[in-house]
Amino acid sequence: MDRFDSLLAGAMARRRLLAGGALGIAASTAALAQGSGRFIKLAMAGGPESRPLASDFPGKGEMIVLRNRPPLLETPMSVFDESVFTPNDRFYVRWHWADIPLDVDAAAFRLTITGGTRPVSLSLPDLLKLPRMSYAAVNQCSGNSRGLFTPRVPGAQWAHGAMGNARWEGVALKTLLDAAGIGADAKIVGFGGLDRPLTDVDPFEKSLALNHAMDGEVMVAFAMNGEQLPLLNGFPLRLIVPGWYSTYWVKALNHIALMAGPDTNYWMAKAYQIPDTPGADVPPGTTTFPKTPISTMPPRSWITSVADGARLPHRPDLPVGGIAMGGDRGVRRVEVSADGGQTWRDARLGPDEGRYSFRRFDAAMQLGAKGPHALMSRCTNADGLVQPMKPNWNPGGYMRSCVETLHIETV
Amino acid sequence: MRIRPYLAALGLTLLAACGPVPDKAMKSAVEDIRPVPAPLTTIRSASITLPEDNQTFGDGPDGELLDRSCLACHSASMVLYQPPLNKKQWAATVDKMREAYGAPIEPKDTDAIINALMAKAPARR
Ligand code: HEC
Repeated sequence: MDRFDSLLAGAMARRRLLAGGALGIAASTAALAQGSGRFIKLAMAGGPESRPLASDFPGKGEMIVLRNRPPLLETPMSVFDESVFTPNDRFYVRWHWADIPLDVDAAAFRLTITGGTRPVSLSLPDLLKLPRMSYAAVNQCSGNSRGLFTPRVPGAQWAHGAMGNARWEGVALKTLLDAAGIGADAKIVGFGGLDRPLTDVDPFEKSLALNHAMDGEVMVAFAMNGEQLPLLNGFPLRLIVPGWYSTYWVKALNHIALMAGPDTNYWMAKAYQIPDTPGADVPPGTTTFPKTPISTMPPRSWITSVADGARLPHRPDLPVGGIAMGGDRGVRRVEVSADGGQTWRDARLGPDEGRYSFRRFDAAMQLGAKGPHALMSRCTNADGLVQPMKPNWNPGGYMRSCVETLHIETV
Repeated sequence: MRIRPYLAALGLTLLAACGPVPDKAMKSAVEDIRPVPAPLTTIRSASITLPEDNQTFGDGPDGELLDRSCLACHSASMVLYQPPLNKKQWAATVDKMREAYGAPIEPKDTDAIINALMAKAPARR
């Protein structure tokens, strides 16, 4: 517990510093303001809705701060309107334990693979010499949009911005596992990074079934949108599991292990469990149900050219744009509705950047008369899976994927 | 700001963004085509310093108890941005911190912590 004690002492020293009065915090209100002094309102039933915006996280532009330590930084929705690719300096950030890598020596770093027929240790220059792959893929937190669950559930209170799309470049995991040699007992592949817990509990580690790990698509990435990964997004290496939720995309990846399984690590066996029901949906309040680890993403879509709550000059045909994702399949179709989902028309799809990417859509909304309007978009993926109208519910706040509604008014 | 290889292509979209928002939306689907970035050739060491975490739960015995019990592993905002939780939900959260994450919370302090959360954090009575 040494490390924990010293961190605890650090937190206490900071607190005493504050209690010393330099900042004059009002007795009744906790001190939440930081960064720019600007705030954003995230519509969440029952609140709290106000979050600080800050640009003082290294390598990041203006982000919504859900938590400073360890950082939980959300991407503002306006960023998704600018491009289907999310810039590295606006890409959301999510860590579990506060001991995260802040200083990584590229020359000393090694990626090790154990449990194979021979041990493997690779430097970053070694990895850069191997055959490469590159594709676009959406990285979305399992709890993206958790703050919109009704009834509300505890956890990080994200709006829709715990997601991003990037072009990832790296080496196929299969290439690395082949180099390690897969023994007869190997059933699963485990992944760990440079981040550590502060107490004597399981580190944040995840695993995939061997056949998934060997599918030739799962990647160990060293580049994101053509640049090395930002430290806050997992420098120097990150596992890319296209079509699957981000919990598997282990950051600062430095250890891969071939194992017989089953994986009993807390973060596989206890956390990130969803109801084993279609759409991870159970009646609100349900606590006992068959559980399964979260895995693939369903389709989602968002209108991004208009902000929720906007007041606009009226026009009968309002052009709107947005982004869609098919999940683990491509986007087949996006439809829009201006009457709360009673009638739908097809949107025009933008360029196809690959089945795992965001895809742009545009449409003209037929608004009819001036006044309030409920704008919606609905994505169908290449498997024919359609976003449902009804929001799902589960106690973890995972896997929201229903049709989202933007309330606007034209005057 | 760093220059990204695709910034030139983005220029088109940025220009369009100066016009009325809806027209930009109409154009973007055809214009937003990005060249694939050049392959990465080197990886340089990286080092950052995070902003200070100055959040506390405020003054008074409740605030001090929560500062003592809940700031070691994460910021106060992890607690203060939760939705309004009832006593049972806060109690379950405190149990989870102790059992799943090893928070050093004495069983004798648990009730006081739950009451402090009901007073200082979003709560539903
Ligand atoms: C020993 C470390 C530790 C301490 C001390 C601690 N927590 Fe946590 N807490 C965690 C971890 C780890 C998480 C999960 C973080 C994540 O998902 O990003 C967490 C998450 C949470 C969450 C989010 C909901 C959830 O279930 O994940 C809440 C609320 C919370 N903590 C409240 C508290 C309160 C209140 C206290 C003080 C009584 C406290 N924590 C003390 C480690 C700790």
